[in-house]
Amino acid sequence: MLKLNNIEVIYSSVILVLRGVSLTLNDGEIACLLGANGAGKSTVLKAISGLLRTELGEVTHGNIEYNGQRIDRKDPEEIAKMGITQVIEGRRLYPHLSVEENLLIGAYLNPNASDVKKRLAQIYEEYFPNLKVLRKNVSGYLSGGEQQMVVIGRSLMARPRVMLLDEPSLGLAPQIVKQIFQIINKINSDEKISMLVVEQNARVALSIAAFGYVMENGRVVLDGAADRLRDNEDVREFYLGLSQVGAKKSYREVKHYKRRKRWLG
Amino acid sequence: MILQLAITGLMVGMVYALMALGIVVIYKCSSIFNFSHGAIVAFMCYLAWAFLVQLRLPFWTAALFLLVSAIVLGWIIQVGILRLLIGQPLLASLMVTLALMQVFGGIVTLVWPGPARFYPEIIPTGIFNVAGAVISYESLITLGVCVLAFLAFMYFFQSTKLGLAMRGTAEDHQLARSNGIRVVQMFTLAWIIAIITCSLGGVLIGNMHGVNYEPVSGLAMKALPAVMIGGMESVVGALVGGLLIGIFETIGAGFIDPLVGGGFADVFPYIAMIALIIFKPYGLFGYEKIERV
Ligand SMILES: Nc1ncnc2c1ncn2[C@@H]1O[C@H](COP(=O)(O)OP(=O)(O)OP(=O)(O)O)[C@@H](O)[C@H]1O
Ligand SMILES: [Mg+2]
Repeated sequence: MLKLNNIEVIYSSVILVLRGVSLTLNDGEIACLLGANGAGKSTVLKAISGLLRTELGEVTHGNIEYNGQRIDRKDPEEIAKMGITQVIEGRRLYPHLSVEENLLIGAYLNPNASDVKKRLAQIYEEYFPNLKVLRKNVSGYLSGGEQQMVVIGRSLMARPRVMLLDEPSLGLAPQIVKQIFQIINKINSDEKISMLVVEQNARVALSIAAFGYVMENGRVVLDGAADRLRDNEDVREFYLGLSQVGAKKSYREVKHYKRRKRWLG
Repeated sequence: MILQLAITGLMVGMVYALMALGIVVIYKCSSIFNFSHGAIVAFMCYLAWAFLVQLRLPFWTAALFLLVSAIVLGWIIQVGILRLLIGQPLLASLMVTLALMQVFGGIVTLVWPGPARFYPEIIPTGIFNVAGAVISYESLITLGVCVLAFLAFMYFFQSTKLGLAMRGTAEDHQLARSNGIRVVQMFTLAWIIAIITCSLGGVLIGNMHGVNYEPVSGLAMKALPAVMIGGMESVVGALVGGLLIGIFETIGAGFIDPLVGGGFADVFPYIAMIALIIFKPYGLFGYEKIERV
């Protein structure tokens, strides 16, 4: 079980982004994290995976526990070793490496070469058959949907127990979004991997999640079982784009801001 | 004549390629251009001489000592100095490599002052004739050693897990860390590999031209046009760039120098470099940014 207890996150010692976020992810469960741009969703995932540290962020209050162990002071490498992987926002690939190399690098922490081979074959067979055809291709030139499959596959190569998925639907056509979420659902039911899915596309996220959290301005403002959230008036209006009159709103086009990146240190 | 020039060109080119590899491997991983490359080549060249002549070690023992020195030196530079500059502007690290150039140059003149020295006969000398060309065992063996070393490094990068991790590090530090790769360890490995190539190059160049700071470090820096031609990020580029420079230089020396009265061979590689940069600023095999999405 993964538990965030009232965490506060500050970037570069001054920018307060999370103001007391609590959240629980039960084993084998899918939870989703919804919210507008800038609400702090990605920051929550980075706090869990430890990538926060690579961007000069810090958990300054509260703590994060995984199976009873505190992880908020650990390096991303150590957290990866504990079986928690993050699928970073925006389909982050090693663009000049081939599809297969991208997948293999996901299994870097697994010292057992024959197990890695087995896992690779399994991922081609059970989840992403079309990646097998593309395995020698340079990943940077794949289509968006294929790239999303590569990054999810790369996370799977680590045989994780917890997957943190940051906006897997970002910039993909509705048909592809549906396909990706079917696969995510299948991974969850086949392997009982716990998943925390950040989404702008609340409809599709709530369709696979058991539980949902809604964030605003660095706080969780609403949480509950996914079916209850689906019926909630505010969620219907703001996140499902279904206002009373049925007019559609979209958060998709909102442009992504640039962040200062400091990977090391 | 042609055959002889071709062999010489290949041999010189492979030495440049190996030197270029040393620059590329550090640059790829950490975006640091190692200005001290030539100085380290010369330093390792002298160190090998010290092991062989001053300490009178047998060849293979000296080789082992040199390898260990390369590993220790790479480790010291990365862990002792550059690691402390992570998070600082890249210019700080570049300045450090520039300073290291002076430091190694200083050490060499301090410890081994005076005129050029020579290795004992570590590579068998002698010549033979093939189809009218005079070929020396030395150049053939030098060529062979470079080819083998290059193949070994290629194998390492392309076919081993650690090699893949290094290539991953070269692409995206944050992503690499999220996959559990300790990026700073990859930097250390890159420096160690680079200094191993420096050692090999130092010994081979020192064997051909004498153990002498200026010519050895100067020759090693011919890797610069090789790298620019091949592309900063490409191991294959280092190979092709090195070979092209070697061949240009040899052609320059063989055909053009007699006409213009000498000296052209040395500038030819740089002219080639400028010409290529104008048309392909990333080099022949350098990364052109992949932008999709
Ligand atoms: N590395 C950073 N340094 C400083 N501020 C940051 C950094 N990363 C994010 N922020 C700020 O933190 C806030 C929350 O960012 P975060 O990326 O967590 O939002 P998000 O909910 O994921 O938004 P989106 O839906 O646009 O991805 C934003 O105001 C952002 O500007
Ligand atoms: Mg985000």
